[in-house]
Amino acid sequence: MPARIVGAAESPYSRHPTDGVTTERLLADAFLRVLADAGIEWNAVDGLGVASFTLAPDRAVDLAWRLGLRVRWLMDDGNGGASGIQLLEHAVRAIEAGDATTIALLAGDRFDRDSFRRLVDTYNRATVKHLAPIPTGGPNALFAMLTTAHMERHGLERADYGRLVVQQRRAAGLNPGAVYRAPLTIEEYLAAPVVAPPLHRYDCVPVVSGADALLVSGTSDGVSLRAFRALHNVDGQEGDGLRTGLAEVAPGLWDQAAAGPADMDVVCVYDDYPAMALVQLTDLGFVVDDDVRRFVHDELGALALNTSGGQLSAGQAGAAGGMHGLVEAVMQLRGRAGARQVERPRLAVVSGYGMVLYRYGACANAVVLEAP
Amino acid sequence: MSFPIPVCVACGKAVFPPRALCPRCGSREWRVEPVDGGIVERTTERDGTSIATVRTPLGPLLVARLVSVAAAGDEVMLDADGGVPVARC
Repeated sequence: MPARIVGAAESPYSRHPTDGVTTERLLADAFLRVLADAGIEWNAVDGLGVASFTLAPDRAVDLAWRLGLRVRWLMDDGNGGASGIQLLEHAVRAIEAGDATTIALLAGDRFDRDSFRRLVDTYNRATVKHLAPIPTGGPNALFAMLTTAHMERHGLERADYGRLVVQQRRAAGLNPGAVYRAPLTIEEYLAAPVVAPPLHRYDCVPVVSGADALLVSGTSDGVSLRAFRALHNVDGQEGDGLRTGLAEVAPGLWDQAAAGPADMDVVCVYDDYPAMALVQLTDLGFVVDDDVRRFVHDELGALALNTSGGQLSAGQAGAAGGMHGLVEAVMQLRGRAGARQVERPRLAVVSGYGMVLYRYGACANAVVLEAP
Repeated sequence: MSFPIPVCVACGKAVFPPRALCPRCGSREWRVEPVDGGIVERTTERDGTSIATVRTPLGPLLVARLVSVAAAGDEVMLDADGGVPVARC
């Protein structure tokens, strides 16, 4: 049976959730929204996949129980920025194999100051033992040093990253779900308070609470998964972090898609930091001759990149960050992106990235999606 | 005054942080070799803490607490505070 994405939804992101808001409530809200978007009844769902840092100690089956679902397919994916694409790939294969017919994929987190601090300080055992006691205070310091390396490699200045940030903020102005929607000038970007040099406020994603959802169903009518590739832990953390696994698998991705970067009508890369967005665009083949500076000045403006505003402006709701780009791409391909709708898009590429093992992210994956 | 780096007994590959199996040969026997210094590759600062990436002579790059003023290219001495490398000039 062919599998198609028949729904995409986001539970509104918020900077400061009220006390009554829990991770479970956010995931349930995203679930109800994606059912409404797809026009599918709640009791038709027979598969559930979930990605969340803060659902613990509950797991996917606890959530199934609390959502009232009897499921034939169940999956937890804790791999952060790569989880959305992993869940989607597994769900599509499961439906094609006949293991389930209608799968809901949910990703989200509820953070307050304490729970976010706990997450970044206990992210993995390497962090607990070797980073948190420095104290690094989370990933910003690591990506500050990576960004310095990226600036030196490509001869970039802060204002070059600012172009990407300002462009995404302009897109966010058309997305009622983005937490930062007010226009940002390059002067404001440059004058923002320092976080960890060379990173300043608008280079770092706003931490939010929220949830995203996709619905995958056995039908030939919907958004299709035209290509998928992944490569995790490509270099054992022995490199400079300026090349993800995407560089190695991009040729296979484009072969499978029978398309190339120039054919993409919508591009959603995992923008935890502007440098990493540019690294993924480079690895995917959008940057000719590795000339990032020329790309930023001459080509970036014409690209329908992170049209929701991306995580940099819409917000990063923990594990939902790994599904945010997929949800945006599906909304665009289904013509349901409202004021920010790209004109009749046919193809979109979405990449996932993340899970800092020690010095930078180790996970990388990408899909090419096709409109109905 | 040194920082312990795991080295694969079978092939001599040095890694940090520690692993279960050697990423080069798949062996699981490790010995520890102390390194007493390295070269600063990058620095940053977060909430008043100076942080540096330090390349050790055995190969591995360490994320260290930097307690002296140092810049890329500078040589630093390494010490251990629990699992954290501490770098000073």
